[in-house]
Amino acid sequence: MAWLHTWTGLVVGWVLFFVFATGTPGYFQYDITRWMQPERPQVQRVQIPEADRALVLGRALDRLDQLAPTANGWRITLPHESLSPRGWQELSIRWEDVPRPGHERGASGSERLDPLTGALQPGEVQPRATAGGLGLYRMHYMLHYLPYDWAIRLVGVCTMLMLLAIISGVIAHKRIFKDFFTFRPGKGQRSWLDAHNALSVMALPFFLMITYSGLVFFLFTYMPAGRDVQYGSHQAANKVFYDELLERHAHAPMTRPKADVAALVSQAEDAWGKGRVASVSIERHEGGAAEIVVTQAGAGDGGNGGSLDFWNPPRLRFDADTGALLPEEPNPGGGARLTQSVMLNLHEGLFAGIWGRWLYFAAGLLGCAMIGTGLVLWTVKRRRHHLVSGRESAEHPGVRVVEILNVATMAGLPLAIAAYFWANRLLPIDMADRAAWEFHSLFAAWLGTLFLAMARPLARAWVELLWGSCVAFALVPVINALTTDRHLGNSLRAGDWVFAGFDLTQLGLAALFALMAVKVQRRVILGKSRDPEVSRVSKVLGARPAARAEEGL
Amino acid sequence: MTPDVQTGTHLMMLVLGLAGLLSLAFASERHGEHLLGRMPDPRWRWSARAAGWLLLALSLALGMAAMGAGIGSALWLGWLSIAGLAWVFVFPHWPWRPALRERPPRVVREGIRAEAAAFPDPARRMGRRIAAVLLVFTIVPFAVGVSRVQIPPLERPDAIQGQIGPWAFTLAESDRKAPEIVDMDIPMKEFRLRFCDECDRHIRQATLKVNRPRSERATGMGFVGQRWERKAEIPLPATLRADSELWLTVTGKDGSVHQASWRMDKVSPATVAWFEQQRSAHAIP
Repeated sequence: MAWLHTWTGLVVGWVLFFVFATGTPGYFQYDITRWMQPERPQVQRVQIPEADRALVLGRALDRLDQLAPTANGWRITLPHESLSPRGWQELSIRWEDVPRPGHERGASGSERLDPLTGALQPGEVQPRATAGGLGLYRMHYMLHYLPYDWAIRLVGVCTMLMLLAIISGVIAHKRIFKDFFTFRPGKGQRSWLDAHNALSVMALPFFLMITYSGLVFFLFTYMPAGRDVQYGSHQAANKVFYDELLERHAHAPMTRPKADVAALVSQAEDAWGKGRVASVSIERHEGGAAEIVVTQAGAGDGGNGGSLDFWNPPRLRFDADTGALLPEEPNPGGGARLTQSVMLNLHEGLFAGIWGRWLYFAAGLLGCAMIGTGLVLWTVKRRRHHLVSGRESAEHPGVRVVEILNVATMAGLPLAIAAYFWANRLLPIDMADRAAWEFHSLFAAWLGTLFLAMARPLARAWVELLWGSCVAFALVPVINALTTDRHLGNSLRAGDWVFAGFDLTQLGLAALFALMAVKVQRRVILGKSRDPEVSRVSKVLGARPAARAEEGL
Repeated sequence: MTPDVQTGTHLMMLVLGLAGLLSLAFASERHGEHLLGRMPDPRWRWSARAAGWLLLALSLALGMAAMGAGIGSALWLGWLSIAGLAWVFVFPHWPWRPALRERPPRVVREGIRAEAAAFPDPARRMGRRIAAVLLVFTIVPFAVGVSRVQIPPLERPDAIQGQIGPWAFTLAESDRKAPEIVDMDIPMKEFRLRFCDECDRHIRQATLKVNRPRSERATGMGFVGQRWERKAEIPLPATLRADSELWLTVTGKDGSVHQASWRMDKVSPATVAWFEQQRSAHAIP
């Protein structure tokens, strides 16, 4: 089992490190996007005054009635704190026209309204072109510069091998309970093994969940046979399959409801609590009466009654003419869909409040650390000469390749991600394909770190790139301060926690890399060890500093 | 209203998790001796183990009571990971650990010194020079690429500025290249459209197609996207020539419909050239 763990882990380790490093910021993707669009003003959380609710909602309905008197559906989004997309949602209306014959969807439109008066709001400010946090997040399953179909299969294979590595790792780790808390620092290979074991065992629930549920996302891409046998493999069959699975209703044209919408919203708010109504939609299913559906807003940890089925929040259905409460509809797809939904939501963590999100973020970083320690362990076991001796060219070429890729991935990729944020602030605002150039910057920086890792002695490359990542992250808030007026001082004063949180996180990451850089520098350049024996020996030997420590990196 | 953050619950779950895992560590054979400085007696270990599991159960119960069974248990596992790792890295610095047993100092192999002295190594230097050159070759094309990058389509000089009904607009092809061929060999071309800031809120829909729309209901593909950059990708008919016309149809929120059209060779010379070349290559008149 040990060999299976070693080799499955090694082959896909770098791809998985990339997947974890780009997937982890995904738990804050909306906040990252917001930071990457500094033109958008800080959100003002304004509710509809309770006394004016009937007036404001009445104006919203008037406007919908004027714009789309007969429609496939209307929706009024009430001002509320939302979990996906994260953040404050403003009062807005949305309509979808009755589709033309032969078309599946009708044209749709939306408008923002003033929550105090119901008047039409001007359009939003035009932000700079950026792929934002979503772009970073999408790379963890779509990679970049690769056709989508190849990328998700490549990531799928790597994920499958990771699952294999996790399971074989648990089997190979014979003293999993005896050595539960064991970490012996300053002992070279032994310490790396301890650290790798401790990280893997402690966060095992997260690793198992994230790997397995990651595969579930592309269930029908990776394993299409069952569906294709039942439904056929062409696109039309695909649609039939999903229509049946999701029990999609055919829509029929609806008109303005007679029921008092404001009263229904109040009724829902009495049941759920103040500010917990996300939206009101009005639609009619083929062959039925028009209905008003009031949907609850997610509330972070503990909201939604603890359910992990994020996509089916509590709803109240009313008859659009009489306002009578209609019976609850069972969620489509039954137990199988519910299981899938829970798995996907565990993966994405959409349900999580701010504490839960930080937990997910920390777990993602632990994933990077687990993969990183595993890769380093592979080289520490196999290199014949110590890193401090600077004799890496005398190593086996395979070991040398792994060493270089390790530096470029673990110390270089973070620097490249910081370069993505740099590019967002430094590239000219009015350049064509600006969002694409943010990605080009990331990958150019990463390629640069790879060549730097090849061009420098290995020990130096580690130290230099770790410091490089530290400086790159530390300068992100500085560049932000120089290029926008939303620097840390301003955002803290304004209580803008999206901007302040982003800048502070960059400083936190910089501190983390500084810590790593100092540690590595002490071991492989200065040859100082925390292990008193090694230090004593090096003093006795009195050789050139690089030759001192016996154990290193 | 901001959502309930439940800081107290989360911190309490962490504290209980820390306490529970510490208690379990006291109870374990390996860590108990390390942490207490002596081997605890079996009865003591048994109660420490029971207390440990009880504290972990309490932490779980607290989470489930405050956040529901699903979210509570998921985040409980998260806090346990953090708590466990915290102890892993604290235990080596545990102040009450027993004195280390004396071990003879390890002797560094003489070999390391000899190896270090045996440098330099010409093969290594060569490889590094190549890598350094490649590093430069990464930076240079990137810098050149950024400096040569073009201005956005709607700000190019060839973009069409015009007025349709009461509204001012700008229209341009996304790139000045030949059409993109998609499935079933259909050539496609993407266009961008922007209305003046004040105009945009009065627009209900804008559609685009090659050749005059035959009816009010078949005006082509609708533009989608943000107001500052609406996009539409339209299929191009095989009969497209320089004098074919591109028709823009704009519907206002007031119900009014306005149309404008341009010759294809004015909007997209590259597209016209591509069709000509296709025709000559396939000897189509």
